[in-house]
Amino acid sequence: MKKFPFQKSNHSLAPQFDEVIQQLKESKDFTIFMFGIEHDTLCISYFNTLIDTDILHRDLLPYLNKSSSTLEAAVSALPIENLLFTQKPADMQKHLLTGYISITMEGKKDQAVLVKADSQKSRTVSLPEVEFSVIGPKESLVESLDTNLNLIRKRLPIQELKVEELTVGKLSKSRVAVLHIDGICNKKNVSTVIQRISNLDVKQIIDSSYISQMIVDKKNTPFPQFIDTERPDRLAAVLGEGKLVILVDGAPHGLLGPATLVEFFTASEDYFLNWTMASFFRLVRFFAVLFSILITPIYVAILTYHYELLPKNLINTLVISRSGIPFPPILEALVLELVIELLREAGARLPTKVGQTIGIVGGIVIGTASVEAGLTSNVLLIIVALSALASFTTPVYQMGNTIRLIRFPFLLMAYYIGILGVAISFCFMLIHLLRITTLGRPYLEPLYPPKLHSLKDSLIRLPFSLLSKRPAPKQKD
Amino acid sequence: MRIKTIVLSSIMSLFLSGCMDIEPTVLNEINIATAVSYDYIDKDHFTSTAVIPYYMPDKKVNNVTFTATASLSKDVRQKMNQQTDKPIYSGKIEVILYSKELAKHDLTRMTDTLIRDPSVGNTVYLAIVDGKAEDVLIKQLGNVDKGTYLSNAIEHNIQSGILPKTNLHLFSYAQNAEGMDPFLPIIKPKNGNPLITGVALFNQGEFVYQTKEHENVIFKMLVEQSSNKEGFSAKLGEKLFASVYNIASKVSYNIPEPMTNSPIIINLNIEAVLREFTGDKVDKKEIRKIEKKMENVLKKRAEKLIVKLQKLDVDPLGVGEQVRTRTRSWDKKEWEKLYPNIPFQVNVKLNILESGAVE
Repeated sequence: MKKFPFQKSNHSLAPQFDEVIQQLKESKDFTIFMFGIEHDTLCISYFNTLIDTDILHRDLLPYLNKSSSTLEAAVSALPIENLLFTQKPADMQKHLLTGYISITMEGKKDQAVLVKADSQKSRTVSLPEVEFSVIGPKESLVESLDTNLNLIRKRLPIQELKVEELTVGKLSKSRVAVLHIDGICNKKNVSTVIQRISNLDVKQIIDSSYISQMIVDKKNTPFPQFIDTERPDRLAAVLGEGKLVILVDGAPHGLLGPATLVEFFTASEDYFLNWTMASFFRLVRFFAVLFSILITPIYVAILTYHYELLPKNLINTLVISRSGIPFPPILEALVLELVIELLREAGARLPTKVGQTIGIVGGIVIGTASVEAGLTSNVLLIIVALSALASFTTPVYQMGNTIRLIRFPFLLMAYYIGILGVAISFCFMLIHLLRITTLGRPYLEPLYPPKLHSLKDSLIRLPFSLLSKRPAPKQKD
Repeated sequence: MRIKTIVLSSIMSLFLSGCMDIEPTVLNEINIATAVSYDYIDKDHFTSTAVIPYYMPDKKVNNVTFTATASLSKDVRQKMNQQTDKPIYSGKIEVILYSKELAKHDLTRMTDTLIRDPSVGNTVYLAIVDGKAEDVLIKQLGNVDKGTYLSNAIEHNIQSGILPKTNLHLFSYAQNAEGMDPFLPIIKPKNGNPLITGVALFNQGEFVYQTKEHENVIFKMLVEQSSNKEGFSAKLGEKLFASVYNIASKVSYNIPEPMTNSPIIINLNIEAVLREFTGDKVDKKEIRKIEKKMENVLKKRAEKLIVKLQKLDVDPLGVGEQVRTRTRSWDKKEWEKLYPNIPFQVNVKLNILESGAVE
């Protein structure tokens, strides 16, 4: 394994401040200069790419006492609240790399003062783009952990909101924060999550999705087990339900868990609308998911094996639409599903403006042309397009991807043994779902095991007056 | 270990799939028969005709008929397949027609194969053709396939016409029930157009009697626990006609002493709307009069019909079933002896709810 220079310095017995500075000087963006006139010159060093030079020029240099003989005296007039005195060179090195300015005194090289001056370069809080809702708050998380914590804390101004911070990644040294409300959240879950995160042995954590993939209970499943959201209001709301939230510095998405299956189909808009509408839309969403998974396999199964199931008035339409098509229904369906996947993939990779063109080209030109050329039946085209549309109704993006994927085994089984195959695949999916746990809790809760009082906010959402109790009561620690 | 099991089981299922006898029937690669008819030739042979709709790309439907002669209906399909471009499947058959001639020689043998075949639905309509069954199928009517046409025709006559509810399931139920005999609608080909004329009554599987026009409505009212929408008219006097439109009728049996010779009372409650009346002004008194007179007419018709059924020794009304549910000492043979001689009394209660918008 390749060793990095800063690791090497840990091994040498007593690395001096000089040595550290010599190593850091190898980088072009490391600045070091002397300040003062006499023999007690101050040595100021920092990475100019990491610090905010405004702080240096405005708050630091004018207030330094150039004529004092000790380091304490020199920095005593600084208008900065948190000065760090350190005698460990390793400490100095670590802080210099995260945006601190170090001040040492020529001649007295056993002590350094570290001043926090990191530049807070990040996006401003903007509109949520993935989980947009017409009504409700319009703030979304940004890449800066501190801003994100601020967005959540200002929604929950209570002392019970606890934030635990960990550093993960040998290279990225990412800050990962685990949030929970003391007394509501299950302590076992918090300690499990913290332990799993601190046990991670990885080089880099680029995004929160890394964490969510690495700390789940069951890794070999297409079903996501942490909800990935960019809405701070949603995070604050679920913290109040006793869930925990994981934020990663540099990731504009927070994770919340333990999340059960039905929660992946709840949108935050469900709570902004009246309960009647919210319940209706939720039911529509569940219907859309089932429709999206099952309709193409059922079409293939019926057309291949079960012509008896068709209503007598529908046979005419279907036979005409299928007449002259040279492929069996399964091939036709697979090709069309793949076309939709191609369009989606192309649309996702291309810049927004070109992406729209792709949608039009794919949807209208390819669709119409292939029907006119007699390669696909127009009924199947409608079915595939509808099922694609239905899969996009899921509020959590990752769940939408899952639904698009699990349709394919259903399709193949439908081709293989008809409706029986669809039923068998459905049983497999159900068994798989029953076996998944998220942080030890069953994934299908509250449907199975049935929890009557949690059902009030699952497939439907009852009015707030009936939702005064938390959906998942605190488990015994 | 786990991976080994998964790999093994998937390989095994691949090979074992060869043992599955699932035959793909891709919709546009098969011929779907929608109606079949059977005609009598001699004791062991019959002719069968199947209608297969060919759906044209311009949304037109062409009915093509195939005919074959054989001794068992499965053989017939083989002979028909020898004439067609695609194999014929029977899963979407809507209507099965038997000629009257064939029905006189026990239908049980013919319906047995339908009940055994799981692809033939239980709600298939069976019908008897007064004449040559094939004639009903040959002429194309409108832009629908012939099977759908006939099944729609029977269906709407069941919902709002003279036919009591009937299908393969009810037919075979009545055939196998101990105190009941089946009936089927009867169709007459008239210049190639089907005309539903009434009901054919069976003794077990043998055709016995065909109802006359004036018997149809009262037959439906007596057979069905509750029926509606059919209309009937009656001559009440010299130049006096009344016609009512039935909203709801209910039949109930009162059997004080089952399995004896004592009379069986049938109560018929009818609620109706006056549709046509050739008399003078209609007021409450007049309506009472019409009710009384029509009740008498209906009572006579019903009792006459029942006596006729008793004479023919058939029981399409299921009186035997009614008796069987009311007694512990049911004996089929004894009932068969009793049935022709039991006196029936029909009490009709007609309630005219409104007499129309005429002042």
